[in-house]
Amino acid sequence: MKKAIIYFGLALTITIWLLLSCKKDVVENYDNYIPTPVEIEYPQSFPDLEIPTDNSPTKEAIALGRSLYYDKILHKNQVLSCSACHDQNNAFTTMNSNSLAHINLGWNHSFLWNGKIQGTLEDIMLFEVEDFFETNIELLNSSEKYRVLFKKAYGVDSIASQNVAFALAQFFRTLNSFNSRYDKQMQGIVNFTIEEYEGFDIFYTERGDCFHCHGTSLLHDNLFHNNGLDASPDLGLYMITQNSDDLGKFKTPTLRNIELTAPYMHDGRFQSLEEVVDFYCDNLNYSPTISPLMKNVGQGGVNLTPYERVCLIAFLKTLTDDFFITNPALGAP
Amino acid sequence: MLKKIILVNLILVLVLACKKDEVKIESHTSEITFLHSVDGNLSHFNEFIYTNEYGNNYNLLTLRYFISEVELKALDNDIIKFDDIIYVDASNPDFLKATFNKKIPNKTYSQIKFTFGISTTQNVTGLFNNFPQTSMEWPVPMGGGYHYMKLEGKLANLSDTINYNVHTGPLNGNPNYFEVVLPLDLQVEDNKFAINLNMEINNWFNNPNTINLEDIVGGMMGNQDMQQKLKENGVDVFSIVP
Repeated sequence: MKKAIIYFGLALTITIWLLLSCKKDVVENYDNYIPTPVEIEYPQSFPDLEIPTDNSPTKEAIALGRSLYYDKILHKNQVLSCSACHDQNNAFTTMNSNSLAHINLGWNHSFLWNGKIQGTLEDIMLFEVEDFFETNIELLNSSEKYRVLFKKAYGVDSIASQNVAFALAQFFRTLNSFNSRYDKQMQGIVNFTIEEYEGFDIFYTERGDCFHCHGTSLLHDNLFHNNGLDASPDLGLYMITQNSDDLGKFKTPTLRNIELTAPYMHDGRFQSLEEVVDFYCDNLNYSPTISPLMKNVGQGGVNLTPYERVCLIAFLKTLTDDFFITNPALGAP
Repeated sequence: MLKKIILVNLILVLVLACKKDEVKIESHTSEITFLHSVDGNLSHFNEFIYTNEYGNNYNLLTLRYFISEVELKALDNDIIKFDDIIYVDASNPDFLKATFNKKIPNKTYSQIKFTFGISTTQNVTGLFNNFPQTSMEWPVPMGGGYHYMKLEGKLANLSDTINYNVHTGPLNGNPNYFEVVLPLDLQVEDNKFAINLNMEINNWFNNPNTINLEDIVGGMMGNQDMQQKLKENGVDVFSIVP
């Protein structure tokens, strides 16, 4: 009897061991999975959207990138996600940081205020994964959920930093804003108020002269400028290029959704649009590398009247895109 | 053995005779190189202080412009046209040369003509969507389209250093562009050419109008009188150089 029990136990153990060793890894179910290509839509007035051939947009990769964007698993200690500092309600930035808003970044070739990262979204995302978040890749590889998502999106059995960066880049390429009141006015769908139209005029003439840096359909020029913040400016682009001509130059941010993306400037010194406009009107500071576009630095700035300042701010508020900040496809999954 | 050698040779001859002639693809890439000078010397950016006819001391920080509707005229009056709208950035090596892939008839050409800027029919908002050209946009409230030129820098005067912006363009639809006609002695022999086109920057500020850059410190985009003066001064800004 005793022998029978022992033999039965041994047979059961061997049977279970055999069953487990034959169990399929769940990702193998997706060995032949083909991701669904998608096209990123944007207006004709925008520049061409350059997409690397090795990261063509797919439904699966975009969904994966979105999942990662809102997941603290990205952070080495799992305490932060991208969304912690980039809230959709504030056009993907937050009220308590000077972080650049995640708006239309697919059309950028320089990233961060001082242009530290040049290239594509894939390049900046790799920086974010490896340097900023220091993502624990092994944690992702031990997550069945993410192993399956990466397998479906990129056909990989083992997740690497590059895969994470690529997925995030795909989601970022969908964070696009082009449905503001300003856009609708340009299409003839809505009419500006008198104040908004006067503000538009100030913005787009040398009266306010905003358009020279904040023009084009992207509301920025893809360049770096010293805009006269300080007589002894912060290093800015100089930190990257070591070219003294670049002292005090910072990336021109988009003005799309600017109403929502306080605080302003690279160091977040201004809390309101009123403070920003007052700066450009009265408080420009000369330094040797100040942009030649700051034509009125000798008078302190463009010296708009109080009414003109109200109108300019009214116009700036037309750049808010309600669809962008409420679109569920961009929100937390 | 001899029969075998003859057979092998016959086969070789047949194979070689049937070998297709290689199709020769000829390249006919012509180019215009853009040079920029002040008082005949190659210009330097953010380095030297220059002096114009009025007596302004100034430096150069930005020089970007368009030329278009380039034409070569031969001695026999044949015209070769190039449809390109050429963007030039004097401080960016990527934009100091225009290339044309067109077979140019081998003959002597006596004249080059082009438009400085962009003509009214072409110069409409939306013509350029991509950088860097799109950043030359001329605002819709001022007529739309694109700047012809952005020439920017600093003025050094006794009490202060201030900025100047010489921005020319289609203010309210005014045709502030102009035609440039230059003599050539160009012998084309390989169906292509290479010429150097120089802009003498100081000539923007004289002849027939002496320009005081301090008059436009606040900008000149909305000043049609100044736009006209710059247009007139353009008469001797360009030349063909060796």
